[in-house]
Amino acid sequence: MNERKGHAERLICCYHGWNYDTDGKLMGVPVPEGCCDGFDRADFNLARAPRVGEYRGFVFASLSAHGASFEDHIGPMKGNIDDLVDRAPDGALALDAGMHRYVFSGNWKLQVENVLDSYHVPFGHASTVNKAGVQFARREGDRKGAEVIETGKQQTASTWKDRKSFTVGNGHGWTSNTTLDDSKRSSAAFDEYKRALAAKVGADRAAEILKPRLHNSLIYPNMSIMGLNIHVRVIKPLAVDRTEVTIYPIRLLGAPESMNSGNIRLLNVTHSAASFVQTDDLESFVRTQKGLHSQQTDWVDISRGLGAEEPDRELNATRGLATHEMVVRAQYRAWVGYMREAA
Amino acid sequence: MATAADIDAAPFERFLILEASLLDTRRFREWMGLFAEDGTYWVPALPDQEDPFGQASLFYDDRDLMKTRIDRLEHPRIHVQTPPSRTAHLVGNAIVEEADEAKGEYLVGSTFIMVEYRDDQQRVFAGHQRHRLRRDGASFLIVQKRVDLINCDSAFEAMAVPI
Repeated sequence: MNERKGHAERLICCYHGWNYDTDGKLMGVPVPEGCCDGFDRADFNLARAPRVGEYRGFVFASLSAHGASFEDHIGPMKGNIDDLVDRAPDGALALDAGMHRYVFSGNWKLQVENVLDSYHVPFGHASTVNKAGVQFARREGDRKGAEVIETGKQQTASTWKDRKSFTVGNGHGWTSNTTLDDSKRSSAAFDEYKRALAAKVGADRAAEILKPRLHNSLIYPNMSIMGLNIHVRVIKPLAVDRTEVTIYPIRLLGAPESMNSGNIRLLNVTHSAASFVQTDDLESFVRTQKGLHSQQTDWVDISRGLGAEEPDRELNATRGLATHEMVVRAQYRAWVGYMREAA
Repeated sequence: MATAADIDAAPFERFLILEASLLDTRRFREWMGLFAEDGTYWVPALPDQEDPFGQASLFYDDRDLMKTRIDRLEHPRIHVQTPPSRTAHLVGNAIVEEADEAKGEYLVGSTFIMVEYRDDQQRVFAGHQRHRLRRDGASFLIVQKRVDLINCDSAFEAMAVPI
């Protein structure tokens, strides 16, 4: 298909005019009298994704007929999807606010590692932090952003160092909330949103939903959900050293439009191809790829926090510090497993 | 009252050329100074995008965000500008599309090409831009600069400098 969006009753091949129903069924072949005996249209339907699963409106597809079941693969991350969708007073999201698309000359795993990496922030994003070590505000209703660098010390803020990360197998993981003060979070739009949510689900449940638990969640291998300025990211490898990323702003259905548009505007600032945050990550990915290409260094160390992981029985997960690299090791463990299966 | 078509575009085009030269010489603070206090800089991510509120945009900066952007552009550790971009703008085909002489407000359309070179790579941005201008003494203030890139909905490598 050549268009990003639109409506059509039939998909018609531009070359010889074979045309298909929207479910991929071959409906018409021009000059059918030329077809040989035994030609059966049913043999020439469009390819199907062998396995498709859906959870709360998110559709996941696998191009492989084999592998873990949808439930086994996505199951441990359902709570993270719930955490996002439950924030909508109407219990549903709309991903209809356009998208940010960026590409970089680097391997897809660089972006995947990055979404859960809390070690890089004071360095990779130094240019977004003011002299007091504080980043610009990133959520509706916040007066200032997270403290990233300890004031006057030029080192990672202790509140940041205390953040946790979690793994649950399959390469998935998430990082816990930032240390923003939610009791001070307030604006006309945010207060109206809180009222709308409480009206739908009750005050207690609304308070529970709004408790900031998650920063970034990674649904391995190629999707992330960000809780800070909410969006969904899909990571697509184009070549071994070329990756395209699509970022979808989220509208919480039932939330005031001013709150949703505030989020859309913030996402321009943090994650457009011209944003303050994402661009320095992209530069880091490109430089890393160049460095790896040299092959003169035979190490990539991801051992931070090795042995310091501990079970989190309440969350049924393994817990580590977010500045450690437990999540990266979990990703490579899953990746090596897939590569072995494929070999 | 003179219609927009009667108005000589030359003074407006001179202003656009001045604006482009401030960007090309990285005088970003002076560039910001061309904007009215309520001025905005908008680069849509969709052709014919109706507004910057309901859809993602590449840039949509008010003066506050412009200042944060420029603080960052001047930060010694902005990796995506190490080394910095060099740009060359060409601005032309200026035409006054709307005019309200009584208020001193004008909408000026023009075509631009910006070539950017950085870190051994050169790329081209091109499109149509519209400046909503307010007369300010002998010059103008920008109320809104809207830049419609011809490839606004494509996937971009990182961008750092305003177009």
